[in-house]
Amino acid sequence: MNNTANLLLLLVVMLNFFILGSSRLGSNIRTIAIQGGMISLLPVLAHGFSNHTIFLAVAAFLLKGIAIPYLLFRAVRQVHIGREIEPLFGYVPTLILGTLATAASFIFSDRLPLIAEHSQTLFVPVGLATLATGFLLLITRRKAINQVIGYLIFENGIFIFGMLLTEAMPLMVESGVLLDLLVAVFIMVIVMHQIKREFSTINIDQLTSLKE
Amino acid sequence: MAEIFFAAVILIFCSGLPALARGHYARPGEILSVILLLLGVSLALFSSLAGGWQTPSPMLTMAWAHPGGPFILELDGLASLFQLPALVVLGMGGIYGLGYLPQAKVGALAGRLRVFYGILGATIVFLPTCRNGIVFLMAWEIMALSCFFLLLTEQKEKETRRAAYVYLVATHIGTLALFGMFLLLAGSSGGSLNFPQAGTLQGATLEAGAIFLLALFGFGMKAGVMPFHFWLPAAHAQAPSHVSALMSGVMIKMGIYGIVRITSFYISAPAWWGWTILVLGVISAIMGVAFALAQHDIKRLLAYHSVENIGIILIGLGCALLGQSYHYPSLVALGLAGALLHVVNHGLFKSLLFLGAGSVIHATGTRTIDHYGGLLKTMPRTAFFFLGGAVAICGLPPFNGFVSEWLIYLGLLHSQTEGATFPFSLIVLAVPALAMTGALALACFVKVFGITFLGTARKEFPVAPHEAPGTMLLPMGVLFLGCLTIGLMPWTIIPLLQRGISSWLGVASVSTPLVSTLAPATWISLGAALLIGLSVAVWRWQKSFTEESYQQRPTTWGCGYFKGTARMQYTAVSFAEQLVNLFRWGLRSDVSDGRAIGLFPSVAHFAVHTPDVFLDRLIYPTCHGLVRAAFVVRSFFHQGWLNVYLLYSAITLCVLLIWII
Repeated sequence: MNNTANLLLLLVVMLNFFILGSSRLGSNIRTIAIQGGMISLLPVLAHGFSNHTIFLAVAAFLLKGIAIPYLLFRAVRQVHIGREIEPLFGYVPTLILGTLATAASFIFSDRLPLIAEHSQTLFVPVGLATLATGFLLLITRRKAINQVIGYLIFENGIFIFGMLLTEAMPLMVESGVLLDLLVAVFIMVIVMHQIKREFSTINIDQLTSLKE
Repeated sequence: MAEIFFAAVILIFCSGLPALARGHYARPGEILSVILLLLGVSLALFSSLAGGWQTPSPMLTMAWAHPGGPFILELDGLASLFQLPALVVLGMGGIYGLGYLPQAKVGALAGRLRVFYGILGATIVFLPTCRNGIVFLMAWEIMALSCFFLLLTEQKEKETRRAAYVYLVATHIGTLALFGMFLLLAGSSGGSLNFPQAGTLQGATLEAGAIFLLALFGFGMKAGVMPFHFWLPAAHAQAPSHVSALMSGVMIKMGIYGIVRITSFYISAPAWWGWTILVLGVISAIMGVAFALAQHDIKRLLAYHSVENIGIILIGLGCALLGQSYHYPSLVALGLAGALLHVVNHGLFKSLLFLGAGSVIHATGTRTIDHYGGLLKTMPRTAFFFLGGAVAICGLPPFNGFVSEWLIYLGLLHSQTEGATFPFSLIVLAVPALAMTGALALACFVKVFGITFLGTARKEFPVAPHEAPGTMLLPMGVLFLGCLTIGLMPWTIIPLLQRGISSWLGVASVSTPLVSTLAPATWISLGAALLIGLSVAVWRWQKSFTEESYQQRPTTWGCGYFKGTARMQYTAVSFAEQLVNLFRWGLRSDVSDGRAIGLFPSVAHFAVHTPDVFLDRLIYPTCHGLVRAAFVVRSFFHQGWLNVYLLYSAITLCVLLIWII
């Protein structure tokens, strides 16, 4: 089981790099759909078959793999934006930073005092690396839709991290988190549409007038 | 007994509610509220005094659902000494408010004032009985907040809002220190937030030192000890007069109570505690009276006198603590008796003075001393009561201020017994400081009384000044009688002082000499009676030959001119100028200098204004600088870029992660 999980986690890291280096919004959304679908298998792989894990896997797959990408594709169609031309920070430097962050999270999780069961798997380093990728995306991208994708990757990192706790966490909490995620994406899509209508762009640097 | 006391406290707490009635029921509501207040006050006074006499002192313990222990109150001698002036002033202030701020004149404001007045009074009366840190802090906070709302009575004035804000900040800084202090105290008394018994903790540890310093800061902030007094002058000046009387006469004593109670827990206080308190006391006393001399707002002046009197109380307390560390029980008995009696006395005479000042303000509508003059003729009763208070605060016989200062003098002089070692014998240096304070206070009150009540009127008022109504004169009369009683018959209160001292000392009280043997109080009665007889005789004798030339007397402060005008009289500034100049180094007055130049000088103006050195010259500039610096920093970091904010979060996260490995 662990080997399959580790393989999946490594694929997640690959997809992180892909998103960091790609400028096309469409392919980014597709990637995030694939990533979401992959990590939705993790509960089953990590903890075996039970009602709890199967429910979680199915719910995560429906949300992360299907519903949210569908919403995002709709948003991209509505605002007629195909790609991010001028990020705040270039693609190659972002990729290098992402690599460094991933390496750092592997080194860091080696030094954490984990229990033996967890130190065998890649859950902790990949979770941290995905968190860092989400952060990088949020910091360096200008288009609001990429911000949403960054947020989703961030959430994926937390989901991977949360796998370690699936046994301990009540089902209620997990379903609440997933539902929150769906609602958040809903709202962001709506807000994005409004921004487009108001400023005829979805670059978030138009949003600085809200400061004091 | 404790149950009766608790019921009385609740009665006082709720006493303001009927005054909220409006319209037709306003006046009956107000009167009902005063009756409730007086009922509560007399019940509390009875139970507090009765409780102070009982051994063991009555206790009330109730379990309730809050962390940190049960609800405990205990009525011991120390508590009843602090409650005695509080209750008297509270009741009298309630009556005074009927005439000073009646609902007929100020509307709903009077009702609101009465509600918070009751709450403030109840918490002040309740505080000395608390025996649990959490309950104490809760009562402390209610006291601070209700006082804040009372201060805001005249909230339309900018000065009032500023004073209230400074007060709120100061009191919360003090409360913060008290939180730390009670947590440390709980640590050193085995994890319980209940107060330890008197004389059970060792004072020589580092922890005890920290507790002492935190208590000195937190309680000193409330008491108005010199470097922490900055909130006090403006607050006392801006509050309505009977609230000022309650604040200055009683509320700031809760700070003293705190210091007294905390020091009572320790069996062997190190000598530096006593020295710190003694030195702070000397500074507060001398600088307080110096600042008072330089003021020309009558209530600000009285407020600085509170600082002075807190200093005198601290000198007594310092004397007691030093006596304890160097094992001289006579110093403990006399110093503590003096300090505790001065707490009672200052509560009585300071509120008498504030009520008198309130009557003058009520009659003239201004607080500036230089606008008064010749009020003796229009307000003879107020003037008489004010004079009594002034004599008392200067520490002169036959009033009560003399008795407490006499006890402190005796205590300080007892440090010169045979075999006194070197640092211990230095205590006697506080004697000249105390004497100087008394002399300066006398000068200050000659100024206040002379400028206000003597001479001729300096200003035409739209409504001619008139004597205060009976509801305002009665409280002053009662307080005056209280001052006179303690001054003439100090042996009536000495047994209560003895109870207070024994509850401060706890188990060690058996080996301490009695105050009544150390200080022959009956001689004071005799001296005071002689003094009164002599004064009356001299007055009658003088009256017998000055009668016919009465019409041709020049104006009192007319600089010796026979036909002087009102403008030739001394002003508040000119009267105190010489003494104020002596303290120029500390007062830092603003002098707007109108110099008369040449043989035929043009019109010149001259004004002296003495702001508070700590608040206006130190704290305000520092805070303004901080705000400016913070603004620069904020506008650098806070530019509205979402990405940059996310970068901040990322950096914080990284730093935290690096920090935990």
